[in-house]
Amino acid sequence: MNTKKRRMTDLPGRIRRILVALDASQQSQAALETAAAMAERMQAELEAMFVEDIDLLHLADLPFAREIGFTSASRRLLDSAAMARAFRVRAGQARAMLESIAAKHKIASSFRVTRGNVLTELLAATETVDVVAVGTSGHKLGRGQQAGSTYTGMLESCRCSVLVLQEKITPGDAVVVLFDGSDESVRGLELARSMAASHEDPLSVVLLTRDADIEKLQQQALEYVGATADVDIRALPVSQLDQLPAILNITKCGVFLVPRSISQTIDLLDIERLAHLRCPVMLLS
Amino acid sequence: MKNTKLEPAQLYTACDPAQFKFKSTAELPDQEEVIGQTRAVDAIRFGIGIEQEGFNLFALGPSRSGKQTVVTRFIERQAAEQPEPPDWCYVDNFTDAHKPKALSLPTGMGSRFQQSMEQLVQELRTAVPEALESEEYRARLQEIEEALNEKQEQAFEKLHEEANAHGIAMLRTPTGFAFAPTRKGEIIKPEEYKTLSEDERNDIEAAVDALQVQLERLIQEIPKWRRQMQDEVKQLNRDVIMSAVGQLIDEMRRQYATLPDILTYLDAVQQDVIDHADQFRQTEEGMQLLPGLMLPGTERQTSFLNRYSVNVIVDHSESSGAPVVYLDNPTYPNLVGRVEHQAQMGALVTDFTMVKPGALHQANGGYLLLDARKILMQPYAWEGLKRVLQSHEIRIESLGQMLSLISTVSLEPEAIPLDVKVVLLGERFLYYLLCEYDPEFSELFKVAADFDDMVERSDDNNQSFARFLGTLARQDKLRALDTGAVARIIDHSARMVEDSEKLSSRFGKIADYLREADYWAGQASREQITAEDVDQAIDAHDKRLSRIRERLQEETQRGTLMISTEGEEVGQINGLSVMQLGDYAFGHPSRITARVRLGKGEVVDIEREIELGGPIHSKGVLILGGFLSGRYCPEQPLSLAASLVFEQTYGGVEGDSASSAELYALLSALSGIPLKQSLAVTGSVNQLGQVQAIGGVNEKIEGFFEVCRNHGLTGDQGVLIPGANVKHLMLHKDVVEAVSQGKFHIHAVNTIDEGIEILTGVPAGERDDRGNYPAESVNYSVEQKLAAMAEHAHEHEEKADD
Repeated sequence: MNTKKRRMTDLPGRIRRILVALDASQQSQAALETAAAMAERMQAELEAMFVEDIDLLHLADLPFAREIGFTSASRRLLDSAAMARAFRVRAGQARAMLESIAAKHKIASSFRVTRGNVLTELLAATETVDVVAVGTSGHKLGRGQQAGSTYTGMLESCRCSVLVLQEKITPGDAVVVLFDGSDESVRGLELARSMAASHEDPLSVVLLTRDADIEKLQQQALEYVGATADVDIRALPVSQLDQLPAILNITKCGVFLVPRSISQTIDLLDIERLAHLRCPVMLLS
Repeated sequence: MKNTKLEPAQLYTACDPAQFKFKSTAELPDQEEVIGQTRAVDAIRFGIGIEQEGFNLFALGPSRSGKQTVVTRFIERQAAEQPEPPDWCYVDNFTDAHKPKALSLPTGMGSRFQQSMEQLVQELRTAVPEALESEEYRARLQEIEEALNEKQEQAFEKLHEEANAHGIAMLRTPTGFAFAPTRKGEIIKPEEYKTLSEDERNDIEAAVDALQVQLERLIQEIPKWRRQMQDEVKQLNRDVIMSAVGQLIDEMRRQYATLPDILTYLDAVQQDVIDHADQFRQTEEGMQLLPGLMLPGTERQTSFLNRYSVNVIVDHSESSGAPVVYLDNPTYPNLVGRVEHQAQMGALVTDFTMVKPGALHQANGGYLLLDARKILMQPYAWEGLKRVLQSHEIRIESLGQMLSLISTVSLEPEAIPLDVKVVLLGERFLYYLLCEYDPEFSELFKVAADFDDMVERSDDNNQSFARFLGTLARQDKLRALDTGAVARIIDHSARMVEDSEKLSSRFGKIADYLREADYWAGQASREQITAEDVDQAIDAHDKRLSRIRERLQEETQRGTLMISTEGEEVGQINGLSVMQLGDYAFGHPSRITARVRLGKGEVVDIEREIELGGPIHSKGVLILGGFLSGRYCPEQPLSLAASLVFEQTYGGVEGDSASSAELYALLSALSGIPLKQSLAVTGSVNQLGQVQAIGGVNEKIEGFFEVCRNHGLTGDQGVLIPGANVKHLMLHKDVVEAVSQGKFHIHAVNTIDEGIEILTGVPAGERDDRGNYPAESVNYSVEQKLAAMAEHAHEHEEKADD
């Protein structure tokens, strides 16, 4: 394996731009940090977006509109001017957050503000990016229209890869990829190899076996990573998917690449299942 | 006339070297016991034996008399048979950090306990983080957190579903939540809302209002759920850490099972570790002390773990018997201990590890020796000592706090019970001052060990003295003494106390002479110290201090100071006085003159008139009036005016040792009979004419002798001394030699009559049966003169009346 650090521009399947939605909350700051680390690893640009939710502006115009504080539970009158002002303040905070974190990771960044439906705006923005980063927690509202709903909507409709970020995890430095021999998993393997090589990070390949011969799958994987490559290869029968969190823990996973097709097949899109993995998961499209 | 001259043998009582059966003090065993001092020794034995409250000791006596040595020896002997006292430690008080707790442990276990705690902390450093990093702990912690999350999520989910059921959506705003009506899954726009009927709008608003109320209640519940979760986490921490800590602490509990205070402390440690489990986690993240200044994580943890250390302030692991402590510098903090502080970022910080013990802690359970003068001179030290003795506990408190000079929060270490015997060492006047002016002193120091200035001069004590000198020579690595040197030092010891029948107990001073004699022996290349070396030491010591004496002698020789040593004068006599300059005393004659005339019976002391005479001196002069009026013309008033003065004396005069000389001068002035100037007089007189003993007799005689020698000895010169002072004579060998050769004389007189006969050569005279003095006697002349004065006075009065 060529151990020299290579520019990502020379590598196939390069990720150039990562999009993250910000609302200046602590959760979005944590997501931004992780996304920035990913961008640094991939030598990608980080684009942050603040969406002024049109629904909130409409709500603010309604005569009975009231806001219940997150922690104070106090009831406050809403009006559109105040809402617009609040958006401006949050947008400013989000911009400052992005600039600070981008500087820290020495990555290029851009910031924009749009107004509209959150999911619609985000989906529109994904047209020009390679990866969109979403969080799973929202504000602990559980499954509902807002938090968590963005995640679900993105997964269902987004055509680019989705980087799923969780709170309160400390990722390792290994690049781990799920491989089942499909074309999509081959592309995922190539991307994983590129990402690992760019920072000389460890590479780990998890062979998802159904009825396929493990040795054959392994051989196939090695063809793509290089026979002499220093790579960790593990087998994971589909029937033993519950061992996946342990494997990711042992390999000290920094990012787990999962082809979208596999994720749908094994129902890895479930939020709770993803939460057990305890590392960022990139669903590759 | 009675023979009053003293023989040379009476002038100096020499110690006979032949009584010693050794050739050198090197042959002698050490002198273990103190010489004489029976009273003091009995008092010490009693004082250190009695165990009642308030029976501390005060060893009083002259300085350098060996009080400390004697007391220490007795105490050490007693202490050796007593058990060692317990060790004492200070530990952190977890509930009130500024009141450290005191723990008592059996002797020698203090440092062991300290090491045990250090080891425990080291083990906890790994055991606690391991417990908190374990899979089990993480999993259970996560379960608890998940349970809260689930609860919250379910509650919100339920609310959300209810909102949905009413066609309401729950939205997240920048700072909270809001409810908005929906139509076909979309939020109703304001213009659309306006098109709704009033009933529809009312329903929507009612539903929103109800949902808002529910949401408020839900959000208000969340803190309670969080607290419950925290309680569960605390309990989890407790359980997990207990399993790690409990075993370690149980092992210590077994080691110290018989010490209930230690067990209580270990319980507190266990609880504290549980309560502060987070502090045991290794963290790279430090703590910011100031902008730009970080306390690294490891330092922070070390600083925290200090709370489990043990400050051993009294460690008797290497002691044998009860402690005996002599505190050389008895300041208040040195006595009761202190709390030290450390400067950190401009503030003074402290904790229980900075409590330092004082001498009272070290001596607790034993004995503490202090110099009385030193402790009285230290601010608040004496008061502090009395307070601890009265309260029976040692409480460490800074003077600043006591005096309210500082009001910052400092430590208040728990008081430690005190059981100590205190021995003060000091001079007599300190003891009596304290008795007189400090009412608490007598309650706390009930035993006085009175060290005498002198001991009996006996054969046994001479032998003891020789052994003492031998011991001292060995201790100070001096040459041994031969018998002559021993005898000479014994003689000088008697001279030091001005008593031929006594020996001085100022062994410190004697030791100095011994050291000096050793020097002179070295100069003379001798292997042993001889009498000659001792003489040289004494002479050299005096020479070093005799500048003033020599000046006076010189001025007397030159005639500046008028002293006659031959011839006769009426109303004039040589008196004798002693000057004390530091540690050196010498005698010198003074001319005393008396003048009389008609008056009202007053004897004027000119020194008293101009306030140069002290009260005792004035008393002596006033007694003269009583003598005159008692002896002469008892039926007539005393009608003289007499004046007495010490000529050429411009400093103060005190004492009555010259009162007999003054009386002789007065009698001479009254009788007109001259007094021999070749004689000097010393002696106090009472109203009955009896001559009383005085002090400094040796110095006075030697002073006049030197003047006479400088003028030229005529064979007529001498000194009259009181008969009661003969036993005090230890005169210089030059004087003794001169007396032996008949060139100088010492007369011992007991009455004025004896003295006046020697001074005038005229009989004093005794009254016959008719009460008359013989015509050729001094008393007759005096009485005649006084009677004439009385007659004249009477005539004068009659004339005045007319």
